[in-house]
Amino acid sequence: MTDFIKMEKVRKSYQMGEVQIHALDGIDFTIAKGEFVIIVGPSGAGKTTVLNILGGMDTVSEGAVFVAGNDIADYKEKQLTKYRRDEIGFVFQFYNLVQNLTAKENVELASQICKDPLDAEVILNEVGLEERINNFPAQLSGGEQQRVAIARALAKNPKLLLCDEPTGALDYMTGKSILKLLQDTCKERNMTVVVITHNSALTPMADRVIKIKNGKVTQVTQNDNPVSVDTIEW
Amino acid sequence: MKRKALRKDFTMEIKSSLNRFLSIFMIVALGVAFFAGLRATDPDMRLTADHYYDLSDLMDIRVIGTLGLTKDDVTAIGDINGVKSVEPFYSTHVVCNANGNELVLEVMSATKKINKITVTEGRMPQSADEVLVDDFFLRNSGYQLGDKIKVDSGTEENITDILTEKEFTIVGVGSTAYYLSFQRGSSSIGNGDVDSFVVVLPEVFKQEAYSAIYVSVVGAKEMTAYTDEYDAEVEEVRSKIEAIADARCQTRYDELYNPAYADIQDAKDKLEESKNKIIDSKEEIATSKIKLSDSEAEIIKSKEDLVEYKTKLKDSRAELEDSKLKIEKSISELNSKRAQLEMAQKAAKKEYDENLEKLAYSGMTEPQLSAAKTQLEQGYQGALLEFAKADKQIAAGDKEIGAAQARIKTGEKELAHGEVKITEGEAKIADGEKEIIDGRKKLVDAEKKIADGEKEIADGQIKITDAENELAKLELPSWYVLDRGSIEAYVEFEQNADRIGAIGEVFPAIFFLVAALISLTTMTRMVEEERIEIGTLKALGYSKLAIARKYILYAFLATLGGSIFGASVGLKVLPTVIITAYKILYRNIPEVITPFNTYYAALATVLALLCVEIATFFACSKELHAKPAQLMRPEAPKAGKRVFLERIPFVWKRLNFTWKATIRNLMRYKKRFFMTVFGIGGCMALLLVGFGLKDSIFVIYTRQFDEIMIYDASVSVDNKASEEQIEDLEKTMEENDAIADTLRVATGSVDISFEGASKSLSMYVPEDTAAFEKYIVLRERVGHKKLTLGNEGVLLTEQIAKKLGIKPGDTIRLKQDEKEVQVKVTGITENYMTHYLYMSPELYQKLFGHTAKMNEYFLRMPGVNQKSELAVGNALLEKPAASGVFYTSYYQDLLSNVLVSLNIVVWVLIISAGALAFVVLYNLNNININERRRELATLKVLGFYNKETATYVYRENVILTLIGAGLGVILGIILHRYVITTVEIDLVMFGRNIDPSSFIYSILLTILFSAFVNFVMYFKLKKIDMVESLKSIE
Repeated sequence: MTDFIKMEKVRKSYQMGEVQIHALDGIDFTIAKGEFVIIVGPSGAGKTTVLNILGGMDTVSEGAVFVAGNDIADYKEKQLTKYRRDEIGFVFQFYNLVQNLTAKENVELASQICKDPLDAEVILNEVGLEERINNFPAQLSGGEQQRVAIARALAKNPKLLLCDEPTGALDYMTGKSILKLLQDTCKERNMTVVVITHNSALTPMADRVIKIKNGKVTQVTQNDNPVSVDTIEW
Repeated sequence: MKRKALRKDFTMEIKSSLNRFLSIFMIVALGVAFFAGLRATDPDMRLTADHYYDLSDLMDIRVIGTLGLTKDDVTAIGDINGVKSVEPFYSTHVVCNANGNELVLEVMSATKKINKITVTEGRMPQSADEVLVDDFFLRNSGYQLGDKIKVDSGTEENITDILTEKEFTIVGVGSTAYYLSFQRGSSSIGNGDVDSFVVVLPEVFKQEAYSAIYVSVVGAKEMTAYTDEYDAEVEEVRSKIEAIADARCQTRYDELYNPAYADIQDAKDKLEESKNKIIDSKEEIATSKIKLSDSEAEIIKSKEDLVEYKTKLKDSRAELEDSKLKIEKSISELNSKRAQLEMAQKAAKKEYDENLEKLAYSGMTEPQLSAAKTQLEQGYQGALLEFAKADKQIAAGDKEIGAAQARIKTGEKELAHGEVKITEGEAKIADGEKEIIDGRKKLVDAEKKIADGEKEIADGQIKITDAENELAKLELPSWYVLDRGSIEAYVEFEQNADRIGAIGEVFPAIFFLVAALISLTTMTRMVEEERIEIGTLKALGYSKLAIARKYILYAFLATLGGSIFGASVGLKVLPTVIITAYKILYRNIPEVITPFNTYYAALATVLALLCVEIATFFACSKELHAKPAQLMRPEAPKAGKRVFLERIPFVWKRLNFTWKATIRNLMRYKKRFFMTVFGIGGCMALLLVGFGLKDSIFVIYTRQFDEIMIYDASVSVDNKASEEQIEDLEKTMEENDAIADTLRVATGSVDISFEGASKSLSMYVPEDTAAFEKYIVLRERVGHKKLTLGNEGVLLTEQIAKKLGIKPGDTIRLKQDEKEVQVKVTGITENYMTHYLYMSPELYQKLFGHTAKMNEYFLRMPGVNQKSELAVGNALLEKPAASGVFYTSYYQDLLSNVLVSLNIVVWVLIISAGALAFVVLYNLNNININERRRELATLKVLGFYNKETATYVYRENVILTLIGAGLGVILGIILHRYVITTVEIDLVMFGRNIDPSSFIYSILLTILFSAFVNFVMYFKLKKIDMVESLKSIE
């Protein structure tokens, strides 16, 4: 169904000393459930801001953000936290794993707070880390760490998986495998996945591509035949 | 200007990380405040005292002569080079009755230049019957300004021989720097201690010599007391005075000896005279005696004669009476004869006549008639002749009778004479006897006079002999030229200052340690956060030094600012607080001097700077040496490591993973670990010391009077009291229901010495050692093992034993009133106030050869309140045998005042402990939150509620706090013991205990401080912006 996510006339500005910065200057788009969405744009366009708002980590100055019918722009802090807890899975560019915990414990960190978690070990197996369950992040490679991060996000069984440049710190091959994982997850679990990247070569793999520039949506493209990321070369 | 951008970066940095700046600022301020403040207290105390000494011109030197001092001495001393001024001084001890209690007063003469009195109320005496008193006097006696007081000598001497007045009006109240504390010295009258001093005009003293001469030394006032410089200056003059001492003493000796000697010679001469006179008198008496004997003999003879005479007279009288009788008889015979004659004559005549008639009638013739007539006539003539014969006879008889009568008359006359003579003789004898009696009486008188005279001579001889002995005893006097070191309170004050100095060496270490740790972690944090900047600057080509300068300067400014602030506050506040606390003991100090002690401020600042800069250097060096590229990459997060606990799967499996994270975190950030543990530990230690101090001091109060000295009052016996008076007193005590029990005790002041050191203390010899434990409990402090007062040795109280290094089994020398003995110490007993030695009466007898004189009664009045106690005491004081009553509650009151002041110190400690805890925890939380911002933001992103996120961080805090508290307990106990033993004053032994409640309070307070900081930090936690924190490094 369309309009699983809807952003309407969203503006975000904030004061930095005497300067007013308009991070988002009128964002409008919709996303359907189960879609693999890629948001592209140059650096500083506002992509991360959109993702942050979608993830309930940031607030809008104007406009509405509907997720599964609820306007999260109106949510108070506690509601937002609950929202994040139960509905969202977030994957960062720099993994942001807790260094002091093993891979399994990092995933447990997420699973212990949600209502309906998936088993940490199972998830880690699914992302291909059976051998690495008891290693610390420092003992894992970049790709492995990102997988842990994904596993952590997935363990929550979220409705929406948000990924901010997930392959930004990884090499070509590893990055590709991560994207594949994301794509497969999207298909297999019918999870809505939103990925930010500034690599426009990736756009064929998405169901929907949202182009953002200078805080505005410049183009929304629907891809009826998304391709598997394996086939894309860049 | 070069490096303008860099400088801008610097100033911005301070603005933006004000928290961090303040962390260092505050901990440095605390450390410096404590360091400088405590260290400065010692010199400040000296300055404060010196100020007072200067204000009242306390003497630098005091000269005492064993035979007193004269005007010439004053002049002689005044002439010495270096002497600024001299002033003579009188003093003596008297007793004064107040509220039934006998107070011992030191009467001092008012001085004009040296040892001036600080008048707090009223004025100095201006006439001989006025007096100024010290304010102890008013408080102890109940007198007030304007009242009259009466004094007495306290000995057999008449008070009027000592002072010109015995009644004085109180016109003023004051204090003297000479008596800085509440001790006024000891005395040989009354109960042995001087209670207060009073000041009168010098004219009031009748003594001929001065009691002392006060000297001020040139230049000494400008110097500070207690310094070496001062001591040297004074010593110079002091030795000069000593140099003239011998000559002056000789002069004094001669002054006293010569007239005395002359007097004695005079007396001797007079005695000789008298002796001679007596010899003469004796001779006279002897003569008189002889005379008297003679007279007596004479009288005896006269008496005998008289008796003879009387007898003779008696005989004569008897004879006379006989004669008289005979004469009477003769007269009556004669009369009858006469009568017969007459009758016969008559008859004859009648017959004749008749016959004549008859004849006439007869008718005879003439011749017959003539013959008959003639016959008749013849017959008648014959009869008449017969008659005439008879008449003659009668006449003869008459004559005889007449003669006899005349003889009788003569005889009677003679007898009368004789009687007269006898009377005369008797009178004479009576006179003579009277004379003899008189004479005897006179003799007796004279003899008595002679006896008296001889007695007088004997007395006079004795007096002369005594005087000669006295004079012989007159030794060459000596001078004691004493400096201020002879004043007990002066020395004690310095010792107290030293003690604070000792503490000042130890305490600040805690703060500096924590300061070092905090600045290390803070600066490390700062440098790590700015690694990219540093990398960039390096890449741009700035030198290591240029880059480091920022951090060094940053730390420098924070430290300098903190130091200045801390020093300014600490140098004023801490000394003021501590000295004010001490003012309880030294009430007269007018003001507290707390100058800005540049030395300590500078020292503290330098130390702080060193501390912080070295820490900064260490923090910087790692980063500065790294390659720029390395720096610009995000720091590889510190690897997680397996913790020890993980090897115990039994425990590890049980922990949920947040606990695992916590434990790993603790082990991971060691610097932080130590900083927190030491900071909290320090806080806990300070709290413990604060509370513990209170406990230790409070225990004196409770233990001493609730557990050790459990008697309620003591009554001292007047040493002039008679047996009956004492019995009367005992009876009164027996009859008083409030008094449950009494015990007689002999008390006195003794000196003990051991291995060269000696001290004086009070000795108690109870009459009944078994009953003694109801009055004073004798026990060891540790373990409370009971000690018995046996006959093998004495018991000593702990404080004095410790001071002299005496242990049970040691033998000490004991001296009382010139007699010195050796005695073994069999036990050390717990005691907190003043020093005592306990001895059994049997031992006393053995050592001193006589029974101890019981001069005090201990009383037990259980359940009696203070007012009733006072009533009992007053009733007893009315008895002449009681010379004073002492209530143990008096000491309790005195102590409670001391405790109140010590509360101030305790509060200072508590507040500083809190400040320390706050700063440390604030810093810790700051660092934690800053460093783990990403981690915490991630948690937030994951959907952790704020509270959950907070708990995640706080769990570590709590564990660290608990560990710190544990360490703090140990540290606190050690510190507490150190402080107690350093600070306790001589007279009072502080308990070595810390109450369990203090531990609880300390822990609770520590937790409270932690909780407070955590609470403040919660808000910071909430504000972690996920977005900002997770900003990718692009």
